[in-house]
Amino acid sequence: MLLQQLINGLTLGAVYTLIALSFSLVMGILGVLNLAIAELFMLGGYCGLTLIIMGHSVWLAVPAAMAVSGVLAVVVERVAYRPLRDAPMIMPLLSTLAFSIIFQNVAVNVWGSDPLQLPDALADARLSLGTASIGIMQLAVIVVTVLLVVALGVIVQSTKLGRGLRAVAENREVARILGAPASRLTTAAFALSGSLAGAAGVLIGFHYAAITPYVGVDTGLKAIAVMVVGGSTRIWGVLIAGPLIGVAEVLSVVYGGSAIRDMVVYGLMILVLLLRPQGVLGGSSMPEGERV
Amino acid sequence: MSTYAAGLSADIGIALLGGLSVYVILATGQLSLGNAAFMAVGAYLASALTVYAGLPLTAALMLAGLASGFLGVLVGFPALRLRGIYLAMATLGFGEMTRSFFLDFAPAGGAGGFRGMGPVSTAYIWAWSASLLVGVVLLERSRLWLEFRAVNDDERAADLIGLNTTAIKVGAFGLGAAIAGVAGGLFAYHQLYIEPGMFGFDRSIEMVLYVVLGGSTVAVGPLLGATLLVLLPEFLRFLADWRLAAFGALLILVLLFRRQGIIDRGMFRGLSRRKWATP
Amino acid sequence: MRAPDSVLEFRGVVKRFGGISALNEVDFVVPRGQIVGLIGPNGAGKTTAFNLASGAYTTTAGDIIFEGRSTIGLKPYQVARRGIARTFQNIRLFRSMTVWEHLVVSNREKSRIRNILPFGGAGRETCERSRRILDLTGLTAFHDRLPVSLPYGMQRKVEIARALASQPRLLLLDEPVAGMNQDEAGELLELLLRLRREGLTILVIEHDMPFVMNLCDHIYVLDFGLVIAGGRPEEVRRDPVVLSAYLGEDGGCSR
Repeated sequence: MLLQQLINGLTLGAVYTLIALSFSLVMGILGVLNLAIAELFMLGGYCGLTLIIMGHSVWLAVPAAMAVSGVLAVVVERVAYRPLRDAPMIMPLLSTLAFSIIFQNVAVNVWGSDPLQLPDALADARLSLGTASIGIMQLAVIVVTVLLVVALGVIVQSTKLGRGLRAVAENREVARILGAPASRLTTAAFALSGSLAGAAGVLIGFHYAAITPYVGVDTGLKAIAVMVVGGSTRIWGVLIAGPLIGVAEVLSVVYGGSAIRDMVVYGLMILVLLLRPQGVLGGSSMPEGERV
Repeated sequence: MSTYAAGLSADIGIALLGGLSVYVILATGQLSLGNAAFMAVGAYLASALTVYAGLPLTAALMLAGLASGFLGVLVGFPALRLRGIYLAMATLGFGEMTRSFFLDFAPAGGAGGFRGMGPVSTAYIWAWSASLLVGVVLLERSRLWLEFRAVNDDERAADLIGLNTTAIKVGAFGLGAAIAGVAGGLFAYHQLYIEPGMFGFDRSIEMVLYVVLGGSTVAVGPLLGATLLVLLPEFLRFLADWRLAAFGALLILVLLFRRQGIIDRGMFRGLSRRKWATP
Repeated sequence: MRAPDSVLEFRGVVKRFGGISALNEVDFVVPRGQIVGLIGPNGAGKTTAFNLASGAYTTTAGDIIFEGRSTIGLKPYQVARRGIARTFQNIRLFRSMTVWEHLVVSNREKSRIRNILPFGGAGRETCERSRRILDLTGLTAFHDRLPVSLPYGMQRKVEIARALASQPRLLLLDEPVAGMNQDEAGELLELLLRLRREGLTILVIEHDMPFVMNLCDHIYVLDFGLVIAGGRPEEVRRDPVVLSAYLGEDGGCSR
């Protein structure tokens, strides 16, 4: 029973990890909270599930969802972020939110507000693991997540693009100096981030065996918490934070106090924000060493 | 006034208060994405005080405002450590925590919600909204408001010319939270029924939108923003199912072409300047 | 020299950032009613000394005495309220405020009620004083302008006017003539001398040597976080230690 819940928690945590990585890419590199990610995730889920229901395999559904969400993320970047990148941070926050309103509305109109269900045959298929069993879909969630994380790792660590992204993440001033290449890096960060969100959307569809137009906000907000807990300026902290929060969430639902779970997740997030020195820009007194 | 118009008008009055609550905090450069939480506290407290304790509504609203304001001060202190997007995320977390607290808080009905509030007239709601709006408009002409703006413009310089930035920022949080508390109480009585889902992230964002769209440098900005956003769905009714998408597109357009909001301080500069210079 | 009535006194002040010493056992005294200059090459610790005096930084060791009382442990706003006002090396004005509003917000309103009343912060007394400051600084015609719309030299004056509005007994000026043309610098010199005649004590950091030599009653020279010399302008000008450390071959007076 416990093992079963751990597996459920891990699959949920895997999805959180991917969305948190998606938030974190844009946040860490540009310092912007792209609220449209929540709905890119949801749209990715619809695209993927639609393909699965049409009979295509996971290996088509996930890349297709990634492509759609990735392209949409670039649209968000061009329209909602780029013109406002020098504006106060509240502006890109709200303009990306505007996109998420549009995306949600589109999803409701295209697919309706009822959940889009995964075919029973797929949702119920299970693989026996001794005392516990794992759903085929759950297995797919974990396998796809691992593959994507590895792929992202390779991109960030060993490609020219990744080096550029890391350089900008470490020092945003560099981005200003670089100019034109920085603008390409921005687009790349949004595209990568969007495609991760798209893949996560398909996976959440697998996890719940369904998807609704409203899955974005709830899961998205929690993924923001995961990102913060994992460290919003470093990308890899979420690999631990995601599964941890996923497992904690599933366990707390099973063993009582589903509301406590949100309190813990967001409480942890606030605590990390308050205590973690980096990201916390300036304290109550003046940061030493700065020229006044 | 028809019931329909009265209902919309009451919505605007409550939305205005929500906008003002964000506006006051934003005046010191702090963005709160959790003001729905203060609204929730005000809503539940005002309802409980009237339904359980039999207090008159006006007294209950005052107490709700005070309690929310106190909570705002408590939130304001840790908020001092955070800036910009990090503060926004922390207040977002605070909002979600509060929502899930009420979701699990049985005495307030939990997920089932809370009812028992009697109907309240639009005039009563507007008496509150108008007085608080006038209060903020007057406050804007005070020296204290200049202190708020100084903290927003350059916190370190403000500190070094002798302004207690801690007190100013925490005070602004308290004041904003108090206004949100009153808004919550009125909201509860206007809706007759409240449940935690009404005070989620969406509500907090709505309040921010009233301010950013209407104008974040003058108090009439939130008034305009609240009016537009409450009435907009009515105007966009002809778009039927695509209403929200149109709203999102409109929002992007305003943000792109009118960053400072529809109304800004410059339009009012002539008015206040003369008064300052010739007392 | 130790004047009986010193306004500001640094006693063995040390400031380290990490392992690096910005100030190393610095002692100096600013006597009441005088204009004292703080000069030295870039990185000598001049601005650090200002930041310590105004409470923006905390000292690593030593004591800072303002009017007989230590300011150690006070927050910047508390130091400001004791009577120290300052300007900044890079101008820091309030971008949303008119010149007049800068004066109103900097002036301390003792009455809490007046502070929240509409237009209460600008009582008759405040207004008269503020007008006088505008007059002194030559900003009267620009009182309703936003500082961004003013030329650089004028913005420096707004900073000084804002500092004066808080009725300080010690004014710290960080490179006040940087970015000013000759005429503006001349006007500023007049203004500061006039303020001194009215009893204000001023401590000034400045690179413009002719300006400093004309303005100051006393000059301290900082180098590598140490006071290497101090005295009347003509003494400092001739001091061989100073010449080698800072002023250069021609005594820095080639302008």
